[in-house]
Order: sequence, then structure tokens, then C-alpha cells
Amino acid sequence: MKTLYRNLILIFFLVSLIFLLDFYQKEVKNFFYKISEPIQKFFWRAGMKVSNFFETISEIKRLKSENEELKLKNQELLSQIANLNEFKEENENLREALNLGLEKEFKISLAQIIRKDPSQDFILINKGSKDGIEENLPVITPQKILVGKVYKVYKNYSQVKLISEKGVSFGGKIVGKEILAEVSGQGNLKIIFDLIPKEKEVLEGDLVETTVLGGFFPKGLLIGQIGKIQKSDIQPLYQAEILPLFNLDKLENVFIILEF
Amino acid sequence: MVKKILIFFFLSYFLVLLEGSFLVHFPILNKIPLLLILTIFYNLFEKRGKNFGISLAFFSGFFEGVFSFRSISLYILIFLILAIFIKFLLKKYLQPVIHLNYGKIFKK
Repeated sequence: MKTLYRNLILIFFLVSLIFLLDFYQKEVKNFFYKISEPIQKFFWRAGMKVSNFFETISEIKRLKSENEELKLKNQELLSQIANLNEFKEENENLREALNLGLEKEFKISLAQIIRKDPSQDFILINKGSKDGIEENLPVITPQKILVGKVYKVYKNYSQVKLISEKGVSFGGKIVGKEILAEVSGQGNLKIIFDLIPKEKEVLEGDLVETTVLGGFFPKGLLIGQIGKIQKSDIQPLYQAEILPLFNLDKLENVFIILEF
Repeated sequence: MVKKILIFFFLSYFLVLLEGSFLVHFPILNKIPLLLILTIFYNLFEKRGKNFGISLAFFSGFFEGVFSFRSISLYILIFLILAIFIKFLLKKYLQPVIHLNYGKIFKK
């Protein structure tokens, strides 16, 4: 009888503790993130270094052939740069002539990635509500490539939902073409460019950028590059795979766009 | 007892940090759920009558919940249910068989 009472009290205590933890979830999580930050930073950097080392060994062969390809591409690009410089000058002259102002720069805040959830498309960054971070703010790489948006904000930290997370969808556009379609996250860092009208032709290697449609992200942020295209003769719409332009394993810092 | 619980606490904490900040950089290793494996194996091979595996399950669930993007209680409940279920299966089906076989061997 005594053991039964003891067990009942223990179960009651455990259940109450579990529910209390959920109630004070934000505070508990913020506390553990804060005390773990130095260790997590150390592990993150150590992991990057070790994985880079092994990657280098395994990729030497591939790099050799890639190097030759890139040399050729480089020559091609150099000639393109020469052309673009001419266009740039022309553009600047036209801007002056039309009296157009430069585009407004974003108000941004730099944050460091300290954790990635292996099973989900989320990352944890070291900026929170005390740094002015709010939910749904866009997160980009230093190269202005869209990474995701702020999902949950704690006092010192924020969780960022990547654009590849299942359920994330927003408008996208092919760079240089008037092709608008839906960018949709599929989970596990997979993204698709969905609902493309059949009469519009998307090519492998095309770049996808954000549009103002939906108002989630500022326009002109790079999303990714078109990969495999899945077309069917029967359906009026088709879809294509988007290869993300950011490499999460190599990414250490991100920017949060505070105002756009 | 307190020493063992403290060891479980720090071990779970260390493993969850290792899982999310170090192993995520490696292609195959990032899929290994260290805490889940530890909880299952500890509960499977824990001596009969001892219930330290339950406390390990609690801490594993707690830290998995803290560092995940879902609620803490969900993970605690999953890990606790798993540990209790393993204990129940062992008590009901496996351990009597093992003890019976030991008995036969020693009689011979």
C-alpha cells in the first residue's frame, strides 16, 4: 500500500512537471540555449572543420575535372563581364538621365547559426527579441540568397524555418523571364517550383528569385537554381526542382532583414 | 543513485549538443538518433528490477524536446512510453525465458 502511494505521488509529480515545462517552454528553452551557446559554437566549428577535411580528401579527383571545366567557364564569363561593363555604363547614364534614385537598402541584422535540427528544416540563430527580431522576418545569406524566415523568437535566440520546410510556399519568378509560379518546400532541403503554366518554358540552370507577391519577402532575393524538370503532356501545369544556392553545412552567418 | 542520475543528465545534454551541432555536418552520422539509441539499449540491457533507464528516458526526452522545434512534453512522453514499454516487454516475455534457460543449464 505504501509503495502504491509512493508511486502515485511520483507519477503525479512527473505529470505536473511535464506540463509545467510546457507552460514555461520559452523560458526553459532560452535558458538552455544560453548556457549551451559556447559549447554549441565550438561543436559547430569543429564539425565544419572535420567535415571539410574529409570532404577535401574525397573530392580531390572531382575537383580536378571541375577545375578544368571552371577554367573554360571562367574565360566565357570574362568575355561576358566585358559586355556587362558596357551595359553598366549605359545603365548609369540612363539612370542619371531619368533621375532615378538607387534602390532602398534593407535594414539588416547579422546573426550566427548555432544549431541545425537534423530531422527538420530549421536552424537556431543567436539573435532574439532583445535584438529586435520578430516572427516572419526574412533571413538571407551574406550573398543575398534567401534562407528562410523567422519562426519562433526567444529572448536571445530565434528559430528559423528554412524555405525547404514542408508547408512553406510563396511566389517566385525566373530571373530575366516573366515566369511566375509557386515555390514550395518539400522537407529535407528539397524545394520545387510548382504550378508553372505549360506554355512558359523553364530551363535547367535558370535562377529563381522572390517576387513581391504575397508580401512575405522583398523582391529580387535569389532562391535557387532550376534542377530536374517534371513535365507531363496531359497536365496544363508542371513543376521543376529548385536546387538551393546556400549550403547549410558551410554557412556560419546569416542576415535578418528587419525592414524592407 | 543521485550520482547515476547526474551522469544521465549530463550524458543526455552532451549527446544532444553533439547531435545538433557536430554530427549535422556529416552525411550519414547526422541521421543517427543518439539519444534514442542510448535509451533503447540501456533499457534493454539494464539489470532486472532496476529502473534507472526510466530516468535516462526522461532526461533524453527533456533535452531532445528543449533542442527541438516542438514541445518539450511531447518528447518526454515519447521517450518515457518507449522505456516503459521495453521494460514491460522484458518483464512479461523475455526475462522469464532467459531465467528458465539459465535454470536448465545449471541443473545440467
